[in-house]
Parts: sequence; structure tokens; C-alpha cells
Amino acid sequence: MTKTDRDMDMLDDLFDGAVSDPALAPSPDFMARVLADAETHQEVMRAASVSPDPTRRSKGKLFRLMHSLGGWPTLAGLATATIAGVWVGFSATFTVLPDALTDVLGSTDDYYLTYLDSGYVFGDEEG
Amino acid sequence: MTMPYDANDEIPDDALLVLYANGDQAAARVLTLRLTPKVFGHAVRMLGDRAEAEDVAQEALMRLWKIAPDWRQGEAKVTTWLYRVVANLCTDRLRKTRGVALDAIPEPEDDAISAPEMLQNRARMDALQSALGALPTRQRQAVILRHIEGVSNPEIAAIMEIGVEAVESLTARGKRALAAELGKRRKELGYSHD
Repeated sequence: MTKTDRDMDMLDDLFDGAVSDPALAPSPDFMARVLADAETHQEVMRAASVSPDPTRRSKGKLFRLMHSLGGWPTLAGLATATIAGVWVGFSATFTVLPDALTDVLGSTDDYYLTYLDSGYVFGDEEG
Repeated sequence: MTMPYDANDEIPDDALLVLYANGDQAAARVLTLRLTPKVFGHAVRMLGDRAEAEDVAQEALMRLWKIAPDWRQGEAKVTTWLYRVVANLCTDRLRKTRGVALDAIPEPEDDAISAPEMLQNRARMDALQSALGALPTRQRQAVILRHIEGVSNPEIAAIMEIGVEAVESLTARGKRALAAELGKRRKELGYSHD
């Protein structure tokens, strides 16, 4: 066995001793301090979950409705879609609608209901 | 003051942490008993100072209590997370105190120092700690985790955020350096020359 092998064996023996070295055990006082930290923080968490912060205002119905729809990102998408729909509707009026209606909406001339239906003609004009 | 033994070995750490976050007082006690010796022992080995190790261990465990409500069960090992926090805290302290002799370790409290065997054991442990303190920080961390804490190489890799091969290299170099250093003190430490 070489000196290096012997030294490695010695090192393994020292490691074995270190695993159970009582001098490295935490003191009871320290254990108690750590446990006190854990219990104190647990109390803080419990208090925070049980009693709501009185300084915070409760959420209104509008907020809850908005939250249920997905919050601001969803509402922004909805608003964009609405505006786009209105714009598409108006811009398509003159290309999609029937000619007669387009004339009514697009012309600067005045139109009267009597042009559409003879039933609107007043009786005194008949005779 | 005597703490009772941990009687809940079968419950994993992460499950206990969830119970702790839900207000279970027994979980707080079991986690404290289970984790504090590991965290403290590792910090003492890294820093060579009990008072500083207590500060580090207390801080690391406080961070664990705080993160408990957000802990995702099954994603990471609690001990891996804790060892990483301890390593970072120790590294910060070692940077601040660079230049201070790491082998200036205070004598551990021991009531049975009158027995020659205990004296020799103490001298051996002090010699090991002194030699560990002379290693580069990363080598020291890897050697302590592997050979004293008994952590597996893959978990050490996760703790140190390096590959398994790098862990093997660090531990091998660390062991060689320790053996060479302590080999000079064989006789003094009560080991035969044969």
C-alpha cells in the first residue's frame, strides 16, 4: 500500500468521524430560536389569511366582473374589436349595401316617404 | 433542554412544508428538528465558526419559512434549495472575511475532554476542519456535501448549479489536497506509518 493510499484511508476515517461529530450539533438554544422563528412566521401567515387588511378597499362589482372576464388584457382586446367592428361597418357601407339604400345614405338630395309608397299620398291631393 | 426525536421520517420535506404553510404546528417542529442540524452542520464546516454558522442557518431557514406558501410540491428538493441558500450565504461571508485564518476555529464545547481518546478524536476533527478551511471554497463545499453530509453527486450538481462531472472533479481534487495535507500529520493524529 502506497503512502497516498494510506493517506486516503486516513482521510476516509476522518470523514467517518466527522459525520457523527457531536461538536457540530446545533445547541438546544439555537434549535429553540429556529423553532420560535418558524412558529412566529406561521402566526403571521395565519393572521394575514384570516383578517383582511382594513386599509384596503373592497373590490367593487365592476372590478369583479372585469376580473371574471380576464382582467385588463381581455377588456383591451374587447375594446379594440368593438372599435374595429364599427369602423369596418361604416367603411363598407358604400360597397356592400344595395344601391337604393346607398343612395339614401350617401346622397345629399332630400328624399321623402312619398317617393317610396303611394299610400303616403294625402287624400286631399286625390280630389 | 432535550428535543424529541423526529418521529415523522416517512413524510417528505416538501409535504411537511405544505403542511407548515397551512398552519400545522407539528410540521414546523418536525421540519426544524430535521433540517436545522443539516443546515447548521454544513455552515459550520464551510465557515469554521459556530456563531457565524448560527446566523447563516437561521437566515436560511427563515427564508424557507417565508417561501413555504409558494413552494411547489414535487418540483425541487427542500434540502437542495436549502444547501444552495446556505452556500450563497457562506460565500458572501467568506468574501467579506477573506484573509481571516479559517483554521482559527474556536474549541468546540466538550465536557469529556479529560479522556485521551476524546482528546485525540477532537484533535483529528480539528485537523480535518483546518485542512477543509484551506481548500478553495467550491472544492470545500463539494467535499463537505459528498463525504460528510452524504449528498449524492447529482444533488450536489443541482445545489452548486454545475454538471456531475464537475462535481466529481471538485471532490477528487479536494480529497487529494486534504490527503496530502493531513498525511503530513499522520503521527500527530495517532495514525500508524504502515
